[in-house]
Amino acid sequence: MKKLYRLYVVLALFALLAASFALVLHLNVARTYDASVAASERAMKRAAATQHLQQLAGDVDAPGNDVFDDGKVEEQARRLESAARSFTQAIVEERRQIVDDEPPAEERAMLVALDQLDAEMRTLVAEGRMIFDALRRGETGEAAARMARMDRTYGRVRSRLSGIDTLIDRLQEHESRVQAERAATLRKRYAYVTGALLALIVVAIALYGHRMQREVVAVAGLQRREEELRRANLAFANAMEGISFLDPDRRYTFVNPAYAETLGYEPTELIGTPSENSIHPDDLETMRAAYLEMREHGKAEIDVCGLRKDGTSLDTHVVIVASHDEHREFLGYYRFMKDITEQRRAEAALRRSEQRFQVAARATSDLVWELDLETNAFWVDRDALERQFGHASSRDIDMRQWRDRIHPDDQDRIKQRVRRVLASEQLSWSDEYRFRRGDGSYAEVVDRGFAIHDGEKKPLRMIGALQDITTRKRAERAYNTMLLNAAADGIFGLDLDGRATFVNQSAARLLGWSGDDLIGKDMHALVHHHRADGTEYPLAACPTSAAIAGGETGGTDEEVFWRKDGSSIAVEYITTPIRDGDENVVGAVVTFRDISERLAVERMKDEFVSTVSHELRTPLTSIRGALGLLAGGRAGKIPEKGKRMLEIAVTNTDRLVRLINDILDIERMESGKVTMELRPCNAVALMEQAVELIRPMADKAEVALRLSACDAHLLADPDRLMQTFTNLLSNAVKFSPPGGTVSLSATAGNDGVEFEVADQGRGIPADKLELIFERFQQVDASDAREKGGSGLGLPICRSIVRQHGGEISVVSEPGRGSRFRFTIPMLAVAVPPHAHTVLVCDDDEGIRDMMTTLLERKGHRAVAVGSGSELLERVSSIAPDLILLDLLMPEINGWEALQRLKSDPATASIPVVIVSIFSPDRNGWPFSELAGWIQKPVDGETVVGSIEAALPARSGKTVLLVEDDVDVARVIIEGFASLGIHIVHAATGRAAIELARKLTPDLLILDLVLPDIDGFAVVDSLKDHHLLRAIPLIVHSGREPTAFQRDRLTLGPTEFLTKGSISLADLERLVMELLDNMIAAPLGERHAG
Amino acid sequence: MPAKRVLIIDDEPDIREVVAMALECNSVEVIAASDGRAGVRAALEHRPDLILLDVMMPELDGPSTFGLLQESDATRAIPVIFLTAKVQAADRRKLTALGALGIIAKPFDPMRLAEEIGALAGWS
Repeated sequence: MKKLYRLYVVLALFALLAASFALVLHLNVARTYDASVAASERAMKRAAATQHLQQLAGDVDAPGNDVFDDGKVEEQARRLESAARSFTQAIVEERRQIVDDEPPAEERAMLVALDQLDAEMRTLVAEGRMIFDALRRGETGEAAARMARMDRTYGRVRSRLSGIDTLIDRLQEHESRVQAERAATLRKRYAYVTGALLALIVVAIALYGHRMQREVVAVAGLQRREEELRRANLAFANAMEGISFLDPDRRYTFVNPAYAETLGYEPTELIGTPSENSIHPDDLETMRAAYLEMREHGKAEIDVCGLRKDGTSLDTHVVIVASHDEHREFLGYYRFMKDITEQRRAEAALRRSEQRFQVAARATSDLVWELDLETNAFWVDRDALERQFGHASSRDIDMRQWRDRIHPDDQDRIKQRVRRVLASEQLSWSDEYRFRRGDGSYAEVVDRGFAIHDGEKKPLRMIGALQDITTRKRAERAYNTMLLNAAADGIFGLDLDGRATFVNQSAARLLGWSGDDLIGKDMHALVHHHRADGTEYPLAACPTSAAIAGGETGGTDEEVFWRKDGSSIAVEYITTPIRDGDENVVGAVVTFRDISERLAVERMKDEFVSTVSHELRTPLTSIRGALGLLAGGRAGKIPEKGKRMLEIAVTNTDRLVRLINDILDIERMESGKVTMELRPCNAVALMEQAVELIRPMADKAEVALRLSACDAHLLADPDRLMQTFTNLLSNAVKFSPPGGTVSLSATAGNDGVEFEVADQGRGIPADKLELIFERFQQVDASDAREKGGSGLGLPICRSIVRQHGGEISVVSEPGRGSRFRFTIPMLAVAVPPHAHTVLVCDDDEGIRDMMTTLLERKGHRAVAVGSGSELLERVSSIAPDLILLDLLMPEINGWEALQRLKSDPATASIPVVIVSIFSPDRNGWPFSELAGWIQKPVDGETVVGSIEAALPARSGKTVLLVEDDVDVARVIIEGFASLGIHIVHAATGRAAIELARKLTPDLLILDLVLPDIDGFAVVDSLKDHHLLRAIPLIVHSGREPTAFQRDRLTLGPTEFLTKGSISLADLERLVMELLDNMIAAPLGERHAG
Repeated sequence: MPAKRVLIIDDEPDIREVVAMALECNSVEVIAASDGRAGVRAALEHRPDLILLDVMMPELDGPSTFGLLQESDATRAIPVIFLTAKVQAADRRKLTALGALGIIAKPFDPMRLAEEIGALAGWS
């Protein structure tokens, strides 16, 4: 605050001093009119002074001046001193002139008057110094008081000036005409000085007044207002640049250069002229009225049209203030003037643009609004608001009222969008929402807003236009509805809760409802609640929830929709998420069609294929048979030529049969009717088998077959894999020259096993490499005839490999043979869940190897030793679960070894199975501890059976497998055989119940779909049995059961497995776990329950 | 080796004839029946050493005929070989699973038919 005070005071003083200096300058200028002496010297002085003035002006206007520090005060004080010195010099100069020019009588009087003026001016400067001193001390009160005293000093300055006036008058009376003229000039000059000083004092007073104002503000402590006022003050100084003083007759007695310049005059030209000359004749009356008003109120402010020297007009803002001396005697007028032509023009332009804006706003049907983002002030075109939306309002509405008129469901969305747009430096946004009308109904509107940013990208305002698009929307909807209803597919939309928002006619018709009844209904619960097989369809599994919750597009052609009448239709449907402009999912649309007919057609096609297959083959069988018998001479001797013809007929019949087989095969495979029956199988066995199948053909063609197998377990359909091998091998043999070699090899990689069939035939040209996997694309058109292929072998191979998740490829070099490669996924190496360590003791190396191989193939760990002593030596460290012991061995024989094992407590409990050429009958079982007896020569089956019977823990456990699919059952039974578990198989529900009651199994594996009664009925029945109701149960079914179904299916510890999603190894592991838990938990518990 | 007697049950007369001719050349006695029920009656009457049974027949198909044969003590022991045009491995497995001795695919080579049957039935 203090600094600001200083500023104003300093400014006032500057204005005063600058103006005083200007006066001096003008005195000098005036002199040049009277005397041309020392004109150049004075010009230089003037130049220097002008420079000084410019410097002062520059300092006043310099940026940062608003925060004067003490150093600046010092600098300005120095300037004051220098200005005062210049003033004194001017006075001295004036005195010299007077001495030179005036006669002695008048001279003295004039000198005295000048001296008095000089003295008063010194006082004035001294006051200025004291004000600066006060400021230096920070005593603003003192400075203000001095200012007041300075005002009084001014009064005296003026009276001295009038004294000088009197002297000049006297001179005029007595002096010659020239002298009188000079005196008049002098008078004019001194009047000029007087006027200028008066004007300066007014400025000082005005500034002082502002200072007082600031004090009030300072008390209020309104920092912000202060800043504004400071600006306004500067504006005043700048705005009222033109300053003049008029005598009571309204003639100019003083004008500052800015005033004169504005009107196109030199300042002196105006002095003494009537001020009316610079007013446009049209405005003279107005001006006069202003003077009257001023006389009454002391001040008048008016905009009038001014007149320049050259006759052009200008718009001016004029302030006139009456001037009185201390005795309230009227002295004249201060007239301040500002050229406002530019401002007027800008205002006019603004008005025009505002008019344009308003006309545009009125002309458009849009409702225009504006929001000041800093103050949140909101403006809306109220007329339009009433005209378009029926909101009559006498007052402006604010932002909150505006927002209230947006539909409650849309408010948050719009708010968030606007906020996001403002945060993102985006310049515009547009959105549609519902806007309440005066009558409470809602109009649909599109609102487009444009953000107006400041230089720093900060949004200041937002201007927008709201357009009522209710009619357009209605038309759009009608059109959309028309489109939707015209669609043959059923289409319905869902909101986030899965409730129907629209349903087209086709959908309603297909579902047997009327469209309106469906609106708002939970569509999944209504039409999609169960699957085709009658099991419940949980919403979570439905693609609709994936679309709504996850934004995923999904669908299938394997499900049914339920109609109103309870019937179902097979449908193909797609569920697509609906997103709003910000990519948020707001619902989903389901498009479906009735595919019952298509399915019927597909069924017919299947039947047709099946029939064709049978119907074609039946006559072919007769033809082939008859031809075969004829060619074989069974019907009598056939002449050589006839025989040849018969051979042709036989060959081509065979070809036709192959062709039919292959066509049907690939047709079924590629239409997805045939699925691969993947099961664990051994690569070596399959490859060996394939080579053996092809061998007769290869021998005939004199082609050697080479096999390089790799021992890997695959997950594959063995029949199909075999088909692939034989197809490729027979191709390779066909295209190999006699003496060539065809090789089948396999390499295990990370992804699976790569098989390769290589030949040394003629190869395949590069341009045919891709083609050969297409149907009926043989390398050479004559191949079909010569080689007897159907042209479908390779496409079938590719289809099979692809269905295994692999890919088949070929590399070939014409003349050097071809290599076909394909990959089949390897079976995840399943570590047998409960492998056993078996110690084999036999002196015959062949037996040892055979036993080891057998055991390892069954997933056991086998360790072989060659003598009884080695057995006894290593048995402790190996800690086997079972020992296979030969009896006839050198040194320590089997009997002895057995005795030693049984007599050592550490080994006594290890079961021992004798493997001997002796039969157990003849020698009896000398030890009750013997776990079994295998008689040599051994065969695999017996060995495995005996070993497994002898293994501890789970041996003796019985698992009842209830499974109607023979293949599945076989796989499971084979898998469990190696674990020493006794599996009893029941193919029907009734058989299962009967067997369960008879055997009381330790575990039940249950398929749900059975030919007679289903799995639920089996479980229900077992629950009635006091022993069976607590046995462990594994439900192994094709479908994931529902929670309700799970409840119903529970016996003892119950696990649910879905077929296909679990490997055999997993099933085995689970069975083991359940059985082991049974062992851990005393069986008695079960029986007691 | 005593002469074997084979019953062929097939609705197609030409096939019956071809089978008869193919087997009779190998000194096998052939009895023919044109549908499942006639076949079962013929089996009861003639007690063949083996039955060749067509799968796809009107009214009573092969598997059903097989079922009838299994119901009677008199015919249960007679080995049955299916003659079928079905080439899918799964179809074949289903037939085998029923308990048949084997399968001979149509069309067959008549010159090797007796040999194939002998191999499956273990006739030496």
